[in-house]
Amino acid sequence: MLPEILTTEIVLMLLPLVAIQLGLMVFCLVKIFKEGVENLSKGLWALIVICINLLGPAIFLIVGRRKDLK
Amino acid sequence: MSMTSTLKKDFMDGIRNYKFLIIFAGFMFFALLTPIMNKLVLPGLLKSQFPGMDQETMNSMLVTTQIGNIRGYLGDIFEIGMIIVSFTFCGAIAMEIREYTLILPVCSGKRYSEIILSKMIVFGLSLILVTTVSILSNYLYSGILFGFEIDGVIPVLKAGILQGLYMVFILSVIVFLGTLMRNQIIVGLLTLIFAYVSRLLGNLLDINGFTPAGLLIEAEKLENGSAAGLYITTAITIGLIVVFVAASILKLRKTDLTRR
Repeated sequence: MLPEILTTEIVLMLLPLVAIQLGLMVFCLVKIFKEGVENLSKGLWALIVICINLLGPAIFLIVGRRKDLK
Repeated sequence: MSMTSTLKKDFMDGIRNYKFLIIFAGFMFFALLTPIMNKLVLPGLLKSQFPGMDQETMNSMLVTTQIGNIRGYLGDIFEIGMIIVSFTFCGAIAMEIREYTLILPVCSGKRYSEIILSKMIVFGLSLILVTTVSILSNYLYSGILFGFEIDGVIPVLKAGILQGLYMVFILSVIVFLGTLMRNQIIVGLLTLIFAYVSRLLGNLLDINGFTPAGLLIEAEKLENGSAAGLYITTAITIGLIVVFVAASILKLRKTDLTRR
């Protein structure tokens, strides 16, 4: 079923969606391991960012990001 | 300091704290996801779950029109987008009071009205811009996948602006609650409860036309013209925004920003 409808046009349409999801995930993972975290451990934040679509990275950026960086 | 510097400061706050990034990614994600889910994922899922189901029954269970997709997206945004908006902006005033950073602009001579208005302008405009761009993307995606049904983009633009205005109203509630309590998570939760309960009550009592939630119902109609009811709903919403902003300024004037 899926290969039949996965035309080039559809794949191109899927790209921005994948870019948003993957981009946010990578961005947050870099922040987690480079800058540190607040409220939970690094591993747990990484798990949240990877497992919870969109909301995971959003939650991390709001409450998990280390804010006391100079 | 002039108002321009306050606006610039809030704009930089939106960038540095990833507020713009979160709302843009959140709204765009759902705008692009809804038509793709309805076209690619859900039909396949139904077919695998009910192999013997005929096409007609399947079509009745799926969203197969552009209008249906846009309405679905608007519904998703009310449910999930509201969570994103509430928690992204919940620290707008609450966190600044809690972390004693609000005292700095006050000491440098800024008026409370300037501080609140600047947040409303910067974050409000970004919300209207994001809702409009997102609904246009949803219109384009669902049009390509299901065929264009809506005559021109004006009804879609109108829906995006109405949704944005509703979000500005929610922002004014967040700002007001932020002046009442210092815990940003509680502010976010109370805003969510307020939005969901007010919509539910509006539905139950059939008074949505007289509440800001009426803007969302009007947006879902995707009509070209403007019904008389829309002007009333818009006027009530703008009136409530003004009331919440004024109440926030008055409350801030009476708040001891140095209290620990």
